[in-house]
Amino acid sequence: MRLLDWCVLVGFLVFVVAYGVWKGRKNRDLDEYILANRGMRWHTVALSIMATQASAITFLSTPGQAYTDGMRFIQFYLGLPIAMVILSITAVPIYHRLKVYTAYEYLERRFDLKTRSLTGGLFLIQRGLAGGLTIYAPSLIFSVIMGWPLNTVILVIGGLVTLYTATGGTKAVEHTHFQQALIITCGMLTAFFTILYLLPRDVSFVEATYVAGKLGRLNAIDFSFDLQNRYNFWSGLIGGLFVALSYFGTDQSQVQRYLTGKSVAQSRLGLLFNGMVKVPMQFFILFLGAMVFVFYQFVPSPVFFNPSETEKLQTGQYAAEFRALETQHSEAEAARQQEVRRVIEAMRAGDSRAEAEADESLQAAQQRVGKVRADAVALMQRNDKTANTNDTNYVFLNFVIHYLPAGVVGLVIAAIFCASMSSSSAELNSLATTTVIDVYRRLIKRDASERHYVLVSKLATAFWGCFAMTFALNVGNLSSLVETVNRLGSLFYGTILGIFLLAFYFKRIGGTATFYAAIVGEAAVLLCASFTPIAFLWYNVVGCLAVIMAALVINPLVRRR
Amino acid sequence: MSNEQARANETKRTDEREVQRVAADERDGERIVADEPPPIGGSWTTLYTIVLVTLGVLIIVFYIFTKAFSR
Repeated sequence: MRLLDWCVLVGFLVFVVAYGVWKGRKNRDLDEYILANRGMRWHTVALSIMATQASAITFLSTPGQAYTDGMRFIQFYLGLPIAMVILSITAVPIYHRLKVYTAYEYLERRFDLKTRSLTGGLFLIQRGLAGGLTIYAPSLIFSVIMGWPLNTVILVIGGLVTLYTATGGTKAVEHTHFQQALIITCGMLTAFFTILYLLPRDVSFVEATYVAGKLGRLNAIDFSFDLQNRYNFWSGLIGGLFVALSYFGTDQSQVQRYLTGKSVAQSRLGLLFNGMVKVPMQFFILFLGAMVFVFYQFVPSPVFFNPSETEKLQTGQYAAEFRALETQHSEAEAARQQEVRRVIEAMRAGDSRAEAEADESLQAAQQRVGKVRADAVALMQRNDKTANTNDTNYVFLNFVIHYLPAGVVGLVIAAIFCASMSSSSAELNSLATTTVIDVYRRLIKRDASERHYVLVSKLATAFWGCFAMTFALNVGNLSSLVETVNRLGSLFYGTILGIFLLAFYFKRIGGTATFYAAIVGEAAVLLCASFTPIAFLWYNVVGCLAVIMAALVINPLVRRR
Repeated sequence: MSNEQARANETKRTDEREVQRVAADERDGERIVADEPPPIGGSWTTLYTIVLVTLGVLIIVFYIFTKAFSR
């Protein structure tokens, strides 16, 4: 990174952290510290919801996914707008009416203490671990690509987030979300237009898009039904709906965002805005990745994008074989570039027969490049059985630091830092809230002063910040970070959603039946994850339905006793 | 009726009252919303329809996009 990049990066980070500390400097009571006095307008709520969901992983991994696997990941988000409508109708008015601090408080009013504690506990486990991953994921990528020490990056991101979240509470979190969302938007838009600018002068945007499509990178919608296929229309619409219902309706990190709305209408509008904007936003980020793919059709790319794994090969016992593969890769890429240009020429001439022939040759050339890459991965595994052979997370940042101009690199990296901080701060904030409201104030000390609870909330935020950093410092090598986070969430989301659906819609089901049904549902999910090949998005459906069905069976038995 | 049965019946009645109370709270929540129109868009039904129709349009656009550029 050049001096200008450092100035941009440090400038933005100092601004965001200082702004957060300043905005949240006065917190007189728990309502102010946890829910910002329920005074936020819909646009702040909306940006906060979006900034909470969009972590650094979103901006690092998603373009890489489009590069390696195409745009089919967009289908994961298709259930989200439907979930926003359902939650606006059901959950938002209930939470507002009952004036709860956490979603789990509602469960005690509806069921009993044990159901509230179980659900709050599942949230603390799942979100506590995910909080560590949220810091670890970008830190790992920065350390590998930029050569920064991993532990230092973890401590810088974690330390800054913990500082302003602990001192400023929800007000600091939501106001910084607004600034962070602006920086992220500027960073990604700048990156996108710079990529277009960097494409060869004689290739138009439409031609570049055709190249991406012909090489299978614009596969946004796939209507085929396959339970083992991670991302198709049906898994996205049905599985994605259950994930979104659970995440936005029952996960405190999101519920707390819209509980800060000034009224039901402001909270609802925040959610509906997210429902309108999220899918196009993800499409844009994936499309950016597809354009990076097109860029590398005209510029040589590395055989493997993770430099630390590549270095292990270059210095290991298979160094000579790897050099040979690198040469083959360069030749295969040069041949592919020729075929890409042939396809473009044929398109320009309007010669469909020549275009079909060139297209066929292009597919063959692409397969040769893929084959060399597969050989390199196989060599990597032979060299080191524990090697991380998934380089999806490294594609975008590798491109950013090698090809973007000074200043823009700093802006994009600041955007990724902001994304990491925005989701981490919401996580720490919600973990602290659940710890204080559902554990400390409910089970340990029920009648302390507001000042006491605010102090304990700050300490709880600091504790969860330290926990996340400790977890990040000790976590092993994770191959696909996006998937790890989503898979971890899917193990718990279905069960939690089932509990809340029982609460909302099954008025005759009592607390004891729900409690046992939740245990049955979680066991069903864990069995599914361990013994079946079904894609992880379906765990949400399995967990939710298992809880509801088990409750319907158990409830009459419990009542009879 | 034995004491045990009486206690069981009382527990059942308390449970049902609690369920009815929460249900009433939730209905109140719905009433508040019904009284509070959205600042934009006229009615909530219109806004929900806009969100769902936008999703439908996006799916169609993405499908056309997939087909058009992969030929």
